[in-house]
Amino acid sequence: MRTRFGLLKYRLTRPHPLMGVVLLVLLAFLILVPLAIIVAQSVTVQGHSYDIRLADRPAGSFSFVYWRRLFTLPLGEFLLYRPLMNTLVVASVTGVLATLLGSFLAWLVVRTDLPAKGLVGVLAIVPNIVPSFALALAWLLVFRTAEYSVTGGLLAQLGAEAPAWLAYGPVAIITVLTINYMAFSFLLVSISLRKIDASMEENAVVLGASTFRILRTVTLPLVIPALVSSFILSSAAALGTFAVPEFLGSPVRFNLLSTVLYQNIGANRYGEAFVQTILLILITASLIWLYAKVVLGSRRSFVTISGKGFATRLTPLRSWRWPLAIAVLVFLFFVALFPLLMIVSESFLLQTGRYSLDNLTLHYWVGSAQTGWGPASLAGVFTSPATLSAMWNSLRLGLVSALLVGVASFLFGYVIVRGKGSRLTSLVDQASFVPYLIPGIVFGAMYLSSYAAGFGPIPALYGSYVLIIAAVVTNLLPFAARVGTNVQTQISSDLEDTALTFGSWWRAFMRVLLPMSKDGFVITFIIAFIGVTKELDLVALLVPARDPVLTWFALVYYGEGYFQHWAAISVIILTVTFVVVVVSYWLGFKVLQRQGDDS
Amino acid sequence: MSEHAVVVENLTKRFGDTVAVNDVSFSVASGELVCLLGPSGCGKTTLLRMLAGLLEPTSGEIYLGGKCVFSSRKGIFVPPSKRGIGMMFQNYALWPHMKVVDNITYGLKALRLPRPEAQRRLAETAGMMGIESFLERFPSELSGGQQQRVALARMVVVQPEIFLMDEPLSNLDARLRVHTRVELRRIQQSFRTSGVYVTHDQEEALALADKIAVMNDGVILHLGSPEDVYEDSRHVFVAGFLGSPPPNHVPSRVEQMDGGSRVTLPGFGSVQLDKRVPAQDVVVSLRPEYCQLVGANGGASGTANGTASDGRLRGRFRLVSAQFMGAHYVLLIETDGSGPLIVKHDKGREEPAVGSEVEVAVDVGAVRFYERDSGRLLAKGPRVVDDVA
Ligand SMILES: Nc1ncnc2c1ncn2[C@@H]1O[C@H](COP(=O)(O)OP(=O)(O)OP(=O)(O)O)[C@@H](O)[C@H]1O
Ligand SMILES: [Mg+2]
Repeated sequence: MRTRFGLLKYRLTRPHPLMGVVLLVLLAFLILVPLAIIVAQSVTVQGHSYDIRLADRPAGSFSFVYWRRLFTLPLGEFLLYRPLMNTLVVASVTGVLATLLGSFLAWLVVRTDLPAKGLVGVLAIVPNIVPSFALALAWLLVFRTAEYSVTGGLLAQLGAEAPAWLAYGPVAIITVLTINYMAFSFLLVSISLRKIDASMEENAVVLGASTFRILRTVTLPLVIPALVSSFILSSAAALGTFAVPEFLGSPVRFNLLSTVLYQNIGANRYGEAFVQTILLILITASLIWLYAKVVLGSRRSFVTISGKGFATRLTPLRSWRWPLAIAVLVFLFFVALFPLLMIVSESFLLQTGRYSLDNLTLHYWVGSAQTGWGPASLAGVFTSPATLSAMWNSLRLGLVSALLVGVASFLFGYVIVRGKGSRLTSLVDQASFVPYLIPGIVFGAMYLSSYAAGFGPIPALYGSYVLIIAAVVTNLLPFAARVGTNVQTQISSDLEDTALTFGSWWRAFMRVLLPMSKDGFVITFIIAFIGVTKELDLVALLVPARDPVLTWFALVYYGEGYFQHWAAISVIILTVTFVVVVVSYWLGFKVLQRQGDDS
Repeated sequence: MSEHAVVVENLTKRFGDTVAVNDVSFSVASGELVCLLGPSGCGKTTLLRMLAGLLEPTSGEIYLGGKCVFSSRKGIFVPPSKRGIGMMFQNYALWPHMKVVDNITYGLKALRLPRPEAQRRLAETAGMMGIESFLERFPSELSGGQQQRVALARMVVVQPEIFLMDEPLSNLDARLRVHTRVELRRIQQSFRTSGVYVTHDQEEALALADKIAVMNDGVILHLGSPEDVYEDSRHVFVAGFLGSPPPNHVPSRVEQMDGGSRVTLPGFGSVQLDKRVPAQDVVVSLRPEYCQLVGANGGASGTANGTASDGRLRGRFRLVSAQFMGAHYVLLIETDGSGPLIVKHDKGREEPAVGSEVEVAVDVGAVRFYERDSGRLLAKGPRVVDDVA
């Protein structure tokens, strides 16, 4: 009798189809609903008196007024055309420069006999770990001018004040973003270079080709997919980035779509902001679509990368060895270590930018509030209750989000790998990549418009951490799904199946699946934690001013010109990031050793 | 225990548009080992996984040990752990994060045996498999053969009623494979456990099985003893799949004659079938070992094409190539019209000379005739051998 309903029970408890449905519903609420709402809102008259006057219709009625405003001159020039042009220029130039620099460094480290490779390899990754708002701060500390700031930067102190076009605007933004994204390109191209079968180059050597000719005719064509990926992905990241253009562009009114969008929301001009949001999504999405088409779609024509030859041949640099090594190390010192020095020292200066021993202080760390004006009137970051509670918020947000991302990584990986071949599964797989198309600041705008005021069964969540966590986790889903898929692919389903012949699914899950997915979970958790802790773009619009996270203070301190506080919170976040990276490297090392022991 | 360990009725599995297993029915007597043999993609694994309960069939019924474990009609599905099966995969599926001992005792814990009994079983099984000395190691610290024995131990320690094995030997090297095959057979027989064993290696199936089920395209074409499926293959695919080198398949046609039906073997002459069948196109299957070289180098045999005298048909052909295989030669012989013929030639007899004319005799009792269109067995070796018309 018990087996009577066995089939029904089996179908209901079989994990992946049910899990797949649950994930799809979740994704719909996290992505589809906000997207739909923002589109609907962009053609709805918003509630401010300004909107009603503009549309000459009651709030809530249908109107194309915002779209018209953006696309017609003369206003359109400031609301759309100029920011759009700026965005495209900054994104494409950044993409090119980051790719060139990153891949050149990768080639030097992976394929040549450059001395001090280990050091170069580590230094090249550092600017990627540093949050972008901290890099922007370092830039200002060196280049700011008395005209636009409370005082001149380091260069001005040395008697060579930078011209305004260098200190602020496109050059500054592109340089900082390039430094920030260079490491990404470095990693991507390194992996691809490592996979090249050495025998391909050796063949060319045997045939008498010169170093340069081998590079041009053999090596380069093989890494072209990685170069294209690097260009498209760093351009896409630059398209939607917010913090750096906000800090380095707005003093000279150099705006990108992301910053005008932020300013519009700040000025309660939601309608315009929503149209800008939609346009930003469309541009990023078309770039990623291009990426999928060009790089992923044409994998077949690049199958020359064999993935086997590990004994890579090193290109001799001969007389260039030491000059190149020194040049690279000097360059990396200035992009990786010098910014950190600037930030750390700034946090100990009573008067900003004055480098002298009698100016040293601990005030911005532990001092109490003083009367008067200026940064010293504000207590140190470890004294002020506001920053202390923000640290606690950041920590909680990081831990909770990272935990959820880890869980999501397992769930997505499990559903995608085990359910492979079904339509439901490929839908889950594709949907998990959609957040990739949505820049952080846009997430903020989307969630603000849909869930701040309550939607259907969901209560109003404005300023609630539930909303922030949802945004942060959703933003990391593509990453989570990819790691999860890799982890689950490595766990043969036979391992689970064998356990099933001995006991229940739950026991197989607890004893076999979970322990085997553990490493993947830890890695996802760590990376997500770091990402969330230094995230500003995503939270800029969502955190409540009463109860913010630490990164949000960068916006406040920037606005007030409190550089020392800004430096202090940057140091805190940097320290946490570095400690976590070092500890996890140490943990990862142990895992590696364990595997070495096993085999 | 019931008479049949496994009974499968009208089992079908579809994946979207592909039918992986198509309306299959068969049974396995208790204590019997049945090999599912067939080419890649024919549905062997799919069938086995349905027996294990790891895959839900689209329709049909499965009985294990007389108990219904799956029925689409009655809505019955018994989970894998309640089916009394032990399973073994090609890659062994040892859990890499558990020591050998934990791998083996995983299933014992679910049985809730008293501790001493569990210890006794563990020790006994480990002893039988010769793996006592590495119980404390991780699977990655074992050689392929040792991993294989651990996987076997994990399967037998819970004393299942049915072993289900999916190509468990294919990761071993050739020598170890033959050795382990014997071991496996011994263990299966000593436990008197029934088994279903998937392989695409015909030699393994012939050596190991009580019965062989040859599959193709999701259906079982022939289920029978090894001798039966080899000698009297019921389907032209089965005949062609078994044997190394494979049999010669020669197209021909049934013609009517006085008192029966007749088929011409090109180059040899014609034979009378053992029964009267309608005129139609057929495929003639000649196994190489039933084609004998009578006199190499234009030897003394004398008689030209065809004779009935000794139940053999003869023909003269040119020898195109000879491959030495160690225990015998494989010869390629040119016939006119119907393509080359493969002949097996035992060592120690006359050395064949390539390019020369040779005489080949076919043992007509071993010739099989298949319907060209359906592939089904039409007639066995002819009773009467006819002279050349
Ligand atoms: N999960 C699945 N989804 C879709 N099709 C499948 C799935 N599993 C198997 N198939 C298809 O069913 C058919 C039979 O597959 P099966 O794995 O049973 O073959 P097999 O006989 O075990 O082959 P091999 O000897 O290569 O292991 C194949 O055509 C295969 O492509
Ligand atoms: Mg198989």
